[in-house]
Amino acid sequence: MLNYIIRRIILLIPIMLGVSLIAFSIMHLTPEDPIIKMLGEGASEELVSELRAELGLDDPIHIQYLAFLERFFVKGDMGRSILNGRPVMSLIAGKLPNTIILAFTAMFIAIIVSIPIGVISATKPNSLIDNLSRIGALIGLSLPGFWLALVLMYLFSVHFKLLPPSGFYGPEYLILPALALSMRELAVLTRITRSSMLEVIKQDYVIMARSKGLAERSVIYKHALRNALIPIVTVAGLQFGRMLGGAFIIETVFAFPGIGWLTVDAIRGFDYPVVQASIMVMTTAFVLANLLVDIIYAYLDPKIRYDQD
Amino acid sequence: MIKLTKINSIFRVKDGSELQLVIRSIRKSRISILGIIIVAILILMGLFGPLLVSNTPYEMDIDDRLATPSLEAPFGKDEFGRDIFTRVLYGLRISLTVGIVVVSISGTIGVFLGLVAGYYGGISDSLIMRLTDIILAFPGLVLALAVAAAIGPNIINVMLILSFTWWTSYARIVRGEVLSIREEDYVTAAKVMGVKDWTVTFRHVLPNVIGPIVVFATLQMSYAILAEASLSFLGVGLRPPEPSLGVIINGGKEFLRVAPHVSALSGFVIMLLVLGFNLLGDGLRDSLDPKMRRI
Amino acid sequence: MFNLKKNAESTLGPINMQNKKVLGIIAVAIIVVLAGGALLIPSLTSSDIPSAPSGAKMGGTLTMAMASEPNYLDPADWWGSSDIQMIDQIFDSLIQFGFDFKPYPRLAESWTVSDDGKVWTFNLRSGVKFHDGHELTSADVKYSYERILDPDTKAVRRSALTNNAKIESISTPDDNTVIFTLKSSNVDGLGVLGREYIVHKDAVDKWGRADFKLHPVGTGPFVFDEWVPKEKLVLVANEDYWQGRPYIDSLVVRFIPEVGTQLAELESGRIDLIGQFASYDEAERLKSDPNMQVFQSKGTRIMTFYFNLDREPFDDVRVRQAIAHAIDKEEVVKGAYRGFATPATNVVPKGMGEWFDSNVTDLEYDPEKSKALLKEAGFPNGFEYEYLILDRTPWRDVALIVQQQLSEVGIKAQLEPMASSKKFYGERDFWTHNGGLDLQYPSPDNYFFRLGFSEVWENNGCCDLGKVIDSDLDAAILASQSELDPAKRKAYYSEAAQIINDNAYYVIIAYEDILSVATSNVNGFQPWPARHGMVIHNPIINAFTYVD
Repeated sequence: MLNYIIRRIILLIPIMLGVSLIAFSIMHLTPEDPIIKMLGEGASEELVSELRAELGLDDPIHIQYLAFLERFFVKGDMGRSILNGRPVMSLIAGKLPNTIILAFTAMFIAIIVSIPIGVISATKPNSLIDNLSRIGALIGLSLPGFWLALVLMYLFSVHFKLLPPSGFYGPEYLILPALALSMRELAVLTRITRSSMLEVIKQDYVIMARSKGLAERSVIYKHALRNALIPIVTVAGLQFGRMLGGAFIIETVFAFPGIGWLTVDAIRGFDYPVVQASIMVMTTAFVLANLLVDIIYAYLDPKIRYDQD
Repeated sequence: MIKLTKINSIFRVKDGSELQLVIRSIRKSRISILGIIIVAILILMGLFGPLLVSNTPYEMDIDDRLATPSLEAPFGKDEFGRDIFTRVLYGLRISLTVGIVVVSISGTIGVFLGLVAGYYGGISDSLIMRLTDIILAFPGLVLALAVAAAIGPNIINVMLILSFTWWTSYARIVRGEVLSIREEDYVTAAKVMGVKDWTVTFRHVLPNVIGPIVVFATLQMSYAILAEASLSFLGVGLRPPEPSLGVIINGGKEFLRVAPHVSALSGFVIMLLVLGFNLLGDGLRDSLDPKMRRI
Repeated sequence: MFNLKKNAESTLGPINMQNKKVLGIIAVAIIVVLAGGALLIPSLTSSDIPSAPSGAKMGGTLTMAMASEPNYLDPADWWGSSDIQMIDQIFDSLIQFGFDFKPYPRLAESWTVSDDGKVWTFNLRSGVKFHDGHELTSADVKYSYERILDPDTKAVRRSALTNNAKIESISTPDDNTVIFTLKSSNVDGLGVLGREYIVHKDAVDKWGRADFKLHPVGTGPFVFDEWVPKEKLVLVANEDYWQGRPYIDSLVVRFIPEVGTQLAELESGRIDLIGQFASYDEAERLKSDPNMQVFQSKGTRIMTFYFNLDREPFDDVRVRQAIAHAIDKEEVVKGAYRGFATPATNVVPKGMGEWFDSNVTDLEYDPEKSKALLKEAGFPNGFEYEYLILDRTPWRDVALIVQQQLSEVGIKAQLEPMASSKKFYGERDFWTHNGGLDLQYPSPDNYFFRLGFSEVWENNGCCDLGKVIDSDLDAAILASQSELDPAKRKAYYSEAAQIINDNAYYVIIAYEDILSVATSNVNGFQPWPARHGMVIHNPIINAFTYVD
């Protein structure tokens, strides 16, 4: 077990290096010059080249990359935003918690809705609820996230004026973005709960429990669900990790001040340091989440450990 | 049926041609059929619709801005007075094109890399798998967004970006199959008989992976369509005045109060399209291989 | 020095104020006559500060929405409209332009200029305090300007300041006097010299060059409180402001990029004011909403169509004229602006008040003439080219409509979104482009400076956006820069504008209106005609904003 964990962690190193290379070079693919974009018209060439030199943007690419690596991993310095001069670390530290809160809320909504529905769906296959929930889940999977966000915003903010459309100044500001973000996970979790439960119900020990005369309720919830939870939990864990990075569309639509929106704005403004740092942060979070899930899964299912890729 | 037997004789397969199963399963599953119907209708609309409408998606009629749906403009008009229904038809075409191209290219890359990784093993396997891990480390569309913003927003770039980041699932499926086959008796037997390695791999691996690949390809169509719409919505995919469905929705978002139909209807169309492919993929998966029944 | 106490009843009633104003004007007129034209602008000799309209309430919070966030709050670095709007609340400049584009005293009570227009003397107010207690002296003014000019500061404002005024030296004979000596005379010297915002050395040194922008300390009506990036900026009233405390306790600026979202927040009462409102459709609707106020006034931003005169076929004047004739400005105004703009006739817009000359003629919409000119230039069937556009409302909307109109005379323009601003400003890698051009200071000179003054281009590689090199145009612009008589100056401007129109160096498409919306509980707000500016509290120019 420990070996497995160590091996996986060691594997992380080349992965993160590759990620860092990509995160670094993406922004340099562009012909766009963030300095000119920032300073706009009337910026003298002199000033532009001065600022470029100061930020080290004129050095050859590999030197810049190595400098980036050293600064980032060794010194822990994420640099300053080109657009507004703020330390990137403080920008990210200010926004990341918001996204985490949003992701948690969305996950919470998804879980409390999807698991009961999935269970009911599994225990009463082909009933009205089952069919409705399956269709609903499929529709939920097919909805474009940004469109759903717009629809929700229109209904609840513009038309009924019940909820605020943007920002994060209180808990009510979380509701719409979390709803929009939770939709996909809701659909996915409903489906997997249902299929996982269906599998488990067929198992021998469930039949055994029934034959022992235990109440159906107890059979379902105590025995079946508990075992069915394993794949559900792993999927949920993965989805959560993805939410951290994938929330950026929803955040942008709702102007929710999270790391996703920070990244999108930085990308649009070609703010290299912010883009690089936030991509690193998001991928690290995602990779760690995956690793954690894999470890848990390996713990539960020894076969996986040895099934080397 | 005759076609199928011919195919059967070319590919020596394990038990019952996967291809046969695919086709049979499609005919059986009601969900798949519903999916096929939806997709077919939308494809036809996307292909032939533009030929049937009388106006172009770029014609403006400023005086009639934001007109609500009517007989002559079934989806109404947008902020420039352009016919939304026409634009949606062209947008369907764009979405389908993106989907097909992405699936084709990424499928080709993925299958090829998967074969190489599984067959040659060793360093190439490690490299390819590491590359897969690196690409998969980026959550969601972040990578696509950043690259699209950097190299310029147009349809070719979008298709290339998506193709080059989504081949990983195909590679894994194929590689897995190659690895599991390598040990099979008949493969060893074939090798002993002097049949070339590649032929063995080709003939034995591919038919067995067609199932999962087809399922994934169908689902990938829906991902690609959603991705293109999202990127265009954010302004890094297609741009106005191109009638991408994402562009239309983006254009309408300022007018949610006065003219919600602009964003609403185009979004609904995306949903239908994606739903169709999801239904199809679901149906295929359900009937094809119990091993794969995951999500 | 009168400080407006919190609950003071005004001892200067409205009538008294009128009298004083009239007296002031008479006094000034006399001085002008006596000085024989050496004084270019009247200065208010009295340091009375007008009092608020009756009914003005003290207290409350004004929450406003801004679409883009300031980059810098350091007066040495501002360049965008969001920067200057906030900097103007936190800092003061030497003079303040009023809504009538005339200069009024701010930190400088009065000023004089020498006969040759090269030496400008400003007399500073005394008793002005920075937010940290430091008292303002002429040394601070000198420091502020030298800081910008110092190459080591790498101030963004440096090139703008050196382009507009060639400062030779700054001297401070005493604590209240600052003397700028210019290398050459500049008719707009007041506007240029008086615009920079004053900081003081200790505060800048305390935070350091990199962080002062995040902790700005000025003398202005509002004190910086907190700035949560991408969320909000909070300013609180400066209790000791020399013009009297603002009527609102705090100004909260929320950054909301989408206009639909801004509107939803406005209508739910969570924000009170949107300074630059971008949705023309909604504005139309809001006009009939009793709970809302819509402010619409002629602005100073002109929507300009640029040609790259170095590229074929736009080096041919007939092609350019053809395009000018192909553009239906009425339709653009209707389609892109929903009527919140006026079709333009020349470079100087109606928003510039008396500087606008309706006698300047432009090339009217005439597709037939357009096609004839194209044929003459050798393009009987039109031609294709790439049209660089910026994907922002209303620039993009204008481009889409113009593209349509061009196609009707056979010119197929391929829209190319501007991936890099270098393409237009730096490398000039474009064929045509359209964009909004706004004033950086209230003088028509600023338009011509950037649209036709080739000397600037040659010296700095910037600003003459079309790279127009026309000696007649240059002559007219140069003449206007040293002409003291406003009527003659206007004639030079009109001449320059006519030259631009006749040669179709640019096509000025529309004069944009300024559009602001607020809830009905906001009183006394007046939108600034240029995007570079917003006045919340400035009694000297009669800006008293308060909330019910």
